[in-house]
Amino acid sequence: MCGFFMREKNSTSCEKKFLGHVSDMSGMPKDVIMGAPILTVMGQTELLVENYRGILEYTECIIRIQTRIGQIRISGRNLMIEYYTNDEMKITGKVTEIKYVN
Amino acid sequence: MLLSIFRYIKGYLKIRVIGYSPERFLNACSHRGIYIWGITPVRGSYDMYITVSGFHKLKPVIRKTGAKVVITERIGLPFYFFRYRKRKVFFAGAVLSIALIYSLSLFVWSIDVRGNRKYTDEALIAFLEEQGVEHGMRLSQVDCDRIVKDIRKSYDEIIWVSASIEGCRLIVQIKENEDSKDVAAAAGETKDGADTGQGSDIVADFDGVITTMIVRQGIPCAAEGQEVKKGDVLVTGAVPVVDDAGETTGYQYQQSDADIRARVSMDYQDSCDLSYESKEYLHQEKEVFYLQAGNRIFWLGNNKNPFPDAEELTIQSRLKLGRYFYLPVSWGRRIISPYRSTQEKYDENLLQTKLTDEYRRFTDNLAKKGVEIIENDVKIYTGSAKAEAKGTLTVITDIGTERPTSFVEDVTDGDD
Repeated sequence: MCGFFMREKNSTSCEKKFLGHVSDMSGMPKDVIMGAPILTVMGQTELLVENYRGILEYTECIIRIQTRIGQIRISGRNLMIEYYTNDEMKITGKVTEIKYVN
Repeated sequence: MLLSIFRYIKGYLKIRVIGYSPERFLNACSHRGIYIWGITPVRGSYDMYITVSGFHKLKPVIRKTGAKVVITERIGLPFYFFRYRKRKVFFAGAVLSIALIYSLSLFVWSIDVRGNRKYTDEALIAFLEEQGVEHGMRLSQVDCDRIVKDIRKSYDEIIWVSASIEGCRLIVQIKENEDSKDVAAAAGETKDGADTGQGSDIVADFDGVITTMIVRQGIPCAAEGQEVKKGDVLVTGAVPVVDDAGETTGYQYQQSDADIRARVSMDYQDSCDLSYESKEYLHQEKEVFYLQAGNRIFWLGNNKNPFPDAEELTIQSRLKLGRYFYLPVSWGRRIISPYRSTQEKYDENLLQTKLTDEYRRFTDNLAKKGVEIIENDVKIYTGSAKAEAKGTLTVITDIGTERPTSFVEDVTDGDD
């Protein structure tokens, strides 16, 4: 059972490496090939997130977002999701930290 | 801003999502393409906004996530209308006001004249009224080209006109000829004379003896030192054309131009009554307010004048829209100041001062016009009822006024 999961994890990392190579060689953007998230930060008060899978946690201090490359943890104060669609979300408030959790 | 206006017109809801994992609810909404915005966490639940159509799609999401959704606020025009659906008069009033604003915006409410210095706004607006352009007329009936042509045609001094409509306002911009009027007039006369082929004479406008005469154009018919009567031709515009034999073959007509001065006698007479009415004001003013609509006046109090001798002062204000659109509604007050009238007599010195001052004002005015006074024998005579200042002034003044030259019979006609 454990060996099966290990094998699956290894194949996923292999796939990521392969897609990374393809993207590098073809010159195509990684967000299209690998589904990498795009974070656009404007100052410290606005954050636009694209290419995500969903929200895992949302409070005034922390927003955890699931993406294809792992989780992104946004810490701050008075955080608020201005809008939330299938393509993108906009977060406002005082952003103090953006952390990638793999 | 624009987006929020659209949302308000379409209507939207504020909902509260309560449950074990509200995040699942958010993800499910985004997965199904339900647009949500303004998501704020409130003590283990989330407040958010959702469109009405999005809310209708929520049922499977709620069933799947096990969340509880409560509508906390309904926002937007559809809800507003629904809430006040029984207030028919209010809606009728709103519709009526919109209709009124629209219908009133079809008329000219203000005429704005710009760039005028010599001609007053009132004079130009009165002229436009004569042409049928007035306050309260329909905007569609305003013909800006016609206005421009009419003004240019009637006012020579206005060299450029522009008429345009801005909202409910008719703007007439003009540019006046800032050159000297005399130069312009002279140019106009020369042009007219050249066009018609008719010259002009200079004729004496009163009796006198010519002192100086400088003729620039035309043939002089009088000389310095000559006595002339009123109506005598001083300079003629008919210039004879002479052939080699010295005979006159015809006439050329010119605009006569000359500076002629003459010694002229003029009578002066002024009188002043010996007695005058003296008013002693009684300080018992009576004030009555009134309102006037059309020709009807509504007095707010007793309007009768109980005093035998009184001065009346009426101060009236008229209701207007903008600067010049006057409505037929006025208001004001009538002030009646009573006085006691007595007949008083002027002191002789005072009479003399009064008549002398009047004479001085008269001579000063003459001097301003370039008239030179060389002799005067004006004296003050005091009678039983009034005092008079009379006499004759001898002055040197400009003489001559223009008159069209009468055509001289063509001398060649008789030969033919």
